Amino acid sequence: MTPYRDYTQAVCACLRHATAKEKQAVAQELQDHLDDHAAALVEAGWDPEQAQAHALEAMGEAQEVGQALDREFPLRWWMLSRVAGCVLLIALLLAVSWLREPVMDLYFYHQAKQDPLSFDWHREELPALTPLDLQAALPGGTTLSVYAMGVTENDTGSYDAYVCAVSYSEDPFHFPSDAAQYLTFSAGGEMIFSYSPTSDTQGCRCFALYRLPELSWGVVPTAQLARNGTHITWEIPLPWQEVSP
Amino acid sequence: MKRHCFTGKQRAFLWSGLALLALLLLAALYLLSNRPAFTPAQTIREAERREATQQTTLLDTVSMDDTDLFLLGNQDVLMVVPFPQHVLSRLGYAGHSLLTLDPDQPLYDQGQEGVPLRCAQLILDGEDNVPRFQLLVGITDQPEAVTVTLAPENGTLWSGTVPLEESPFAYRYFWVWADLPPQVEAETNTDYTVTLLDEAGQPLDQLTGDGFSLWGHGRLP
Repeated sequence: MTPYRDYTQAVCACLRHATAKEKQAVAQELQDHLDDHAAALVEAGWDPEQAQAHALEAMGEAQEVGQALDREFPLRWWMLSRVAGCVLLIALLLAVSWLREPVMDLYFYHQAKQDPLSFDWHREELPALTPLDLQAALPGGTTLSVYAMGVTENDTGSYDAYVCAVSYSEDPFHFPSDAAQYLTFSAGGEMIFSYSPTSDTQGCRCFALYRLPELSWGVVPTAQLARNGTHITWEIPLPWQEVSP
Repeated sequence: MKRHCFTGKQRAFLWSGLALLALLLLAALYLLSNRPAFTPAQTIREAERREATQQTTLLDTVSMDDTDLFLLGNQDVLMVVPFPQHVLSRLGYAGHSLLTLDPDQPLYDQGQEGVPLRCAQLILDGEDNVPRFQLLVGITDQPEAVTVTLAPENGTLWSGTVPLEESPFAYRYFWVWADLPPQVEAETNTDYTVTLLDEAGQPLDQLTGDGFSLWGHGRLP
């Protein structure tokens, strides 16, 4: 029990819009102030009990001190604190849920730029893919890359080739150009029929998987992008050594 | 240990400051993830970037509902880019091309590859997913052509003759947008035959719906 408990309680009882924690802090501050004052008097040669009584007397009537302090905790500030607290809580909760998207954007960017082979196409028929490093910068800060290829023998005795491409923005937080979906293929001057590519667009990148069906063994197809003023031609050195003729 | 006690006012300012910081963080996260385009220039640059094409020039503008449509061109493409007029609508809009006419794009009907005219058509749906507007765009490098006649296969659609506009590039262009009649359903044939005419009104070349480079449906933002 502190010697000033009754006094500090009386003061705090006057604080109508202070929280319990704030009242506790006010009580502690009053207590410290009274202790300091009494200690100084004791040091000056006063009797401890007289020093405490004098310190209390010097502090003033509890009711008056309480009313003065109460003006420091008006209702409007109490309300504003609460509203701001609620806004802070909601904003932080939203921020935590929204943070996922930019973090995923960074992951998609890293995957497209540094490790496109880690992208899983979830296609059982896909052969083992051989890495390829064909890259071109497109207008507007997009990079187009043909990063992998593979060949597999099909039921008819000919071969199906798979070519993987990705286009990604150089800014991880931008939407991608879908240029990877607009490649065409030819061999010996003849267009190779290819199905519409399977594609996956997320974050700043767009993956596309092309299947070139019914190829003869040893064919070296050419990939072209002729779109919106960009003209690119690449030879695709398919890994024919992976399948026996 | 002595502790400092905040007054109600100080505490309110502290909480308000923290709430403001959290709101700023939230706004930054939103802008980072959604990249809204607030100005026409931002919209146009974003559309160019997504189409991976060089910088374009504004050729013409029209307003459709609460959206401005910019007709943009460079030496390679002709693009139509929408821009919402209401600021709030721009919060969720990042800028994209509704239609990009690339003359290098192979035609569905390769038999019409030799026609010196490239056209695209877009049907724009309203909020109720019902087709409301049609947009026809074309470019030609035929030097004698002065106008084009647009003749729909379905007689209820808009038809007419429009002049070819000069552009700073090696082509002239036309673009037409018209309201669709209310009875037009999604499956209605909206194919057009486009005929290039010379100064005397004589036909020079013709492109049918199968020879269009692009045909599709879109929505205004």
